[in-house]
Amino acid sequence: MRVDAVVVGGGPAGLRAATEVARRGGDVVVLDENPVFGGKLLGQLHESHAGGWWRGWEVAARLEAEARSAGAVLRGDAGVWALEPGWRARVADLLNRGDQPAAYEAGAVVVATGACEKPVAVPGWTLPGVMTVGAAQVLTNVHRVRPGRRALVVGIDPLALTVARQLALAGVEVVGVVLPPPLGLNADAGSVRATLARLGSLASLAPTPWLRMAAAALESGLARELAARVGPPGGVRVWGVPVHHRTALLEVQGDGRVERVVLAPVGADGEPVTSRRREVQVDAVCLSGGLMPLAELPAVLGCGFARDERLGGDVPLHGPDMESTVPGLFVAGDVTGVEGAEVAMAKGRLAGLAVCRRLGREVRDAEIEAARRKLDRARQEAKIEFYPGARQAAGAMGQRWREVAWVDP
Amino acid sequence: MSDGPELIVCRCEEVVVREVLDAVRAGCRTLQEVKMATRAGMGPCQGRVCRTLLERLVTLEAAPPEGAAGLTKRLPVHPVPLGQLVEEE
Amino acid sequence: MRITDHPLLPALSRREVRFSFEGRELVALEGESIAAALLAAGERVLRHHERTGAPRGLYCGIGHCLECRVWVDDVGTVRACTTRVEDGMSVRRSGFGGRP
Repeated sequence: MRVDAVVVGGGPAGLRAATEVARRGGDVVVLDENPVFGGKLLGQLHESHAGGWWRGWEVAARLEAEARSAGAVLRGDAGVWALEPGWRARVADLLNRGDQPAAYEAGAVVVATGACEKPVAVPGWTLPGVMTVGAAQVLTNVHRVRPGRRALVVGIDPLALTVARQLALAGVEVVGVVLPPPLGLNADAGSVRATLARLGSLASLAPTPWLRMAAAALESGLARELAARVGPPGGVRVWGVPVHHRTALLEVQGDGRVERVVLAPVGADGEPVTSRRREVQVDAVCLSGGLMPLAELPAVLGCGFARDERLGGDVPLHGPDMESTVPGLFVAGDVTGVEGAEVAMAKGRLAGLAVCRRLGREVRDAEIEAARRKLDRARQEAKIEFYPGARQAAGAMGQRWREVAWVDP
Repeated sequence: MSDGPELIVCRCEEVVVREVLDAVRAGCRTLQEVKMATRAGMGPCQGRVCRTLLERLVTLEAAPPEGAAGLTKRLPVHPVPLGQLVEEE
Repeated sequence: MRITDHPLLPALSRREVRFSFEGRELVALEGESIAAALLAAGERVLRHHERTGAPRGLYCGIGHCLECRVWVDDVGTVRACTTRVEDGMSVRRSGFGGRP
């Protein structure tokens, strides 16, 4: 089927991009593997800086309505398994119904596939009942099913803390938030000091003395040492959930399902003191290893990538108007760097305008400029950086795109 | 149980740390080589989950793997239901 | 395991749908994923590893890891985390090659 543009991914960036194209008369289809649209927004529930709560599903509903009323076609249960330059998107009908096009030809494509979670390896992590914090968030807030009665959250970062709180709100007994095993395999997720560096940006949202120390720790080595060494035995309460930044998970155990976890305190050297291990009964373990862009389609197409841990890892290089190093392939949202929903929306808007221009529709320079400024503003106003330094990293991306830095030629 | 060397790295194929390290010690330096030697990354998820872990292991044991912009560099990027992987028209 | 009283999430009014899992009749709520419906019914084991037989359940929740793959009669292999339960669905654990 012939359209003007294909958008892969129906989250905030994809929906915004499609709206922009549709508003200017472009024929655009949004394809998402899920049966409903909104991506990660659907499960998001957290306190916002303006006071009050960010309810992601409401934002998703608004974005979806805007896209539809602009004339974009939204198709769910559809997995784009291939993209061919020129362009052609091959679509898997995930429910095998056989009543939808198997391919779309388009003049431009926007890849807005978002981010996925990095794994946390721990003995017993394949037991039923061990899942990512993202999975826990969806089960709890979207499907209204508790992942368990009693849960341990593993990994201390903004997403883990947000989900721990969501679990508690949903009536799950959260026994605590602890560090993953400090194995090289888990990078610095198990490091007390790196954990504190990660949490600085949360200090303004959850102003506990400990998190304020974490913010100070970003600046001062001494503050970091202090924060790493202090902590009441019952854990530091952040949003009512005990955070044990000096306790690590050693193992998940159970007969065919999660039944208990083995925890141990972490010494000043960062190593677990196994002689002081203890068992805690839980029936769910929620792991958080951080987010990384889900950029398989750009990778297969040979797009240039750059590695920047401040953005989550390997990021498809993109120019100031969100075009990748492959002409006609645009990228938007967390796939271009984990920066959150509002930045994703601004990126989607910019990509949508750029797509219109590519399709030969009239787009004034002033409009592109305005969209770029909106993106800058969204970035400045974002209160939580998932990774410290994301803003600077994102700003540097345009320069690297110009240099076409190939990681894997 | 599954501690240390017996810790599962590739969930799909149940490849453990020991097997990956053995492969690196035997000379594997890219994720593709590790995949060929151990099956890690060959399962249904095609390395989506384990790629990060494999990279870290190879880096820790030897050096950052070359050409690591993704294990999954071929189509389809995810499994397609039976009967749909055909040429259109 | 179902959340019926949440301080912030709006109540959803969803009609019941009937489906079966491994031949056992279960009730789900319209619009929920197969994985959620099974979890609500106390079923955490979605699969057994094809080589070792180790029980596996939901892991990533976003259709990425494929741990949650199950067989739906007349449809085929689907991801339990991203596929909605429908009235009359017959779901089974998938074996080697995907079929039960």
